[in-house]
Amino acid sequence: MAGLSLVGVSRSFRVDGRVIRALDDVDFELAEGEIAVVVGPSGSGKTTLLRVAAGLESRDEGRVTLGAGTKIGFVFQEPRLLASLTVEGNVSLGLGSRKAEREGAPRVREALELLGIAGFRRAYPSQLSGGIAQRVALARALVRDPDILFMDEPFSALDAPLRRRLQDELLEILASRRTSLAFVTHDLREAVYLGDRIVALRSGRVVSDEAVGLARPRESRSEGFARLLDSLALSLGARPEEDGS
Amino acid sequence: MEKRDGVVVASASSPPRRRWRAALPFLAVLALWQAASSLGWASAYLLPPPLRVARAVAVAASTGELGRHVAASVLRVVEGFGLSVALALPVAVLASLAPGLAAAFNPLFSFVRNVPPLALVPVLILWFGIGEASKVALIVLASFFPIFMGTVTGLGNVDPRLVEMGRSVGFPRRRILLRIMIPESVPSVVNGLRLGLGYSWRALVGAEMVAAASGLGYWILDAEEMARVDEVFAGILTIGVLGLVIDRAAFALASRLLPWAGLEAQWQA
Repeated sequence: MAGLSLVGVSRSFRVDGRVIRALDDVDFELAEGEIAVVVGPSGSGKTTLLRVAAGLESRDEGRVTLGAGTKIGFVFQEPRLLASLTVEGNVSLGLGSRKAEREGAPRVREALELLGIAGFRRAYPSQLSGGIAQRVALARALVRDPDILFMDEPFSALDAPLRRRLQDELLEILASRRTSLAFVTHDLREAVYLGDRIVALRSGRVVSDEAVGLARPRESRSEGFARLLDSLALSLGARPEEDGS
Repeated sequence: MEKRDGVVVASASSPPRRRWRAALPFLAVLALWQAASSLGWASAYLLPPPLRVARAVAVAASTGELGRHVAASVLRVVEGFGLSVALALPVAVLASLAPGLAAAFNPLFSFVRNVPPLALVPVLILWFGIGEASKVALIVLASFFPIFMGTVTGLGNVDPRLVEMGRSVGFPRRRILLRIMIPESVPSVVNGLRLGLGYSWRALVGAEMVAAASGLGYWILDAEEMARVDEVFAGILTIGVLGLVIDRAAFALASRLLPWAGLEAQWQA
């Protein structure tokens, strides 16, 4: 079983003596092969939700169920590459153990080719542009052959054309695997473009959880796309132009 | 910096131009020195002319005296600095892994760090005698802290987001230390090593001036007692040149082994 389920999860943080409830009794499901996009304004708890689900953050209450032996991959907002390693070395970190790294050269090569960065394999992170660096981070997550991929606003620092290209590449890669994706963004258009399902968060609570019935490839100027965008914006109390923030 | 096909390419001035730029201040000091001697600004006893000093170096080199002193000093530095590295690196890693223990020892370490090593020479001679051990111990005392501090600072400044990345790929604590924290702290460790090497050299010459029968410090003090000022300057120059050569060699080696670390800016500071 490669699914993920969160039931009644709550998480609070103490900031400057005040208690902030980042997640408040949240339920979240991710089925095998599904793309679930978590969307919401800044401070809505979407990153905390992803981190709790991936086990990077503890929870105060609730239950997180991940299938036994489920492999996960995480792509952060920043590439988080080690300056001391080449692109190849950084990607091989994703294999986890020393033994896997020793035997994993073909898998690393495959991941580099999949992301179109094989030509950069001997380059160091300081020599890479933002787009290439984020591709390396994605390759590091994919080389693990994860059952579930978590992505926390991975394209937010990139310019619009590059973001669009990486979104398409991501969809293409996922189409060839059975990997589930939990993707966090504050960009409503990105959410509708990528998601099979969109979960909207506001002040730590789920305000809507809807399946996206649009066929792929999706056209952002289509009537269905615009309708969904409006409905999401309404749930979050924002206009689509504001990107949900 | 320019960007080509997603790779940022650094552009720098050509090596001959850089070498020329680095040589200019030396040539200026040499010219000023020669002028001070030729124009009688300073007496030849207080400031012997450059040519006389060069001759003193040549004579000492031809008799083998220079080689003997250099070899004795370099050997002491190699022993003392090597011992410091072997002690400071593991202690720094331990201090980073056990911050509570490090905090408990911090006042004691600060106390020892702030005592000038040369002030300990009489004690070291009492404990270790006037042989090699007291000199090596002095070098260890002088170079331990820069290496220790460089390593602790480097490990402490590792971006916690990289540590979290390690956790996300399933690294246990030991692997996070070996694969992420230690490599990421290398530029700071190298800086500590470089400072430690310089401190070793300074402490050694001081120690050789107190109790030694060989070494550059001994040579300088001996020449001073014999009123051979040209040899005093020859000894000082030799120490400076050796320090410079060792520093450049260390830079060349470190740049080759750690091309990603951006050591050039650090080394030029």
